[in-house]
Amino acid sequence: MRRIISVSTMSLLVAAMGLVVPGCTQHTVEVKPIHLTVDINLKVDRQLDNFFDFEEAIDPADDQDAGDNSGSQTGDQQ
Amino acid sequence: MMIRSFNASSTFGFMLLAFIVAVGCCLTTAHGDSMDELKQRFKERYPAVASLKTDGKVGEVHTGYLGLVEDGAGQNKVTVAGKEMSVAELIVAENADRTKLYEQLAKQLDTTVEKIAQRNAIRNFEKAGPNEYLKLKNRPWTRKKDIK
Repeated sequence: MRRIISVSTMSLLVAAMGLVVPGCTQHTVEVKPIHLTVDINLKVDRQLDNFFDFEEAIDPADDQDAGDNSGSQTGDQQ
Repeated sequence: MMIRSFNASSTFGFMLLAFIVAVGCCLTTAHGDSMDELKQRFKERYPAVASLKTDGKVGEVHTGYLGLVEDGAGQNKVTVAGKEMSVAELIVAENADRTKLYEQLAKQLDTTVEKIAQRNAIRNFEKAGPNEYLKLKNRPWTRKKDIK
């Protein structure tokens, strides 16, 4: 009787291990795409910052000649 | 015989030259403007664009492009690098160059044009002053300070 109990306990333990191990593997797979997304965002941001570096140096008030104001607010335009 | 071989080699030479010219043209067209040329044009427009943003006539759209906030402001005149143009023309020129920039960066970084445009929109939203107008998705033009 005791032997049966110990065998069934062992098999339960093995089954639990079988569930836990694949769960861990899945977790590491999920992290990878997030990391890649952050990486590409950083690369894009860096490139954009490098390209538009002149914006910090130029004072808009120096060369402004925007016309008079009229009209109302509207929706989209691009 | 001599004449015939001369003709054959000159025809081949001509075809080779035509091929090189055609490839050169294709490469130039595909590549478009260089990054330096693009940057120079952005630089020339920047003071006028920044000033129009401060005045609330133009603003940044969530798509990564510049938009006209005031309907009537499109006909107003601005000076860019000593040349007079309308605000509408300025927006068209700015957005055309943004598209070129996004395309070139997307190719360079092996990502999509939409991704680059989205990141630039976020960048411009962050940089905007409190009184500048921004256009978020499915929302009207709103001053940055009024966005909740």
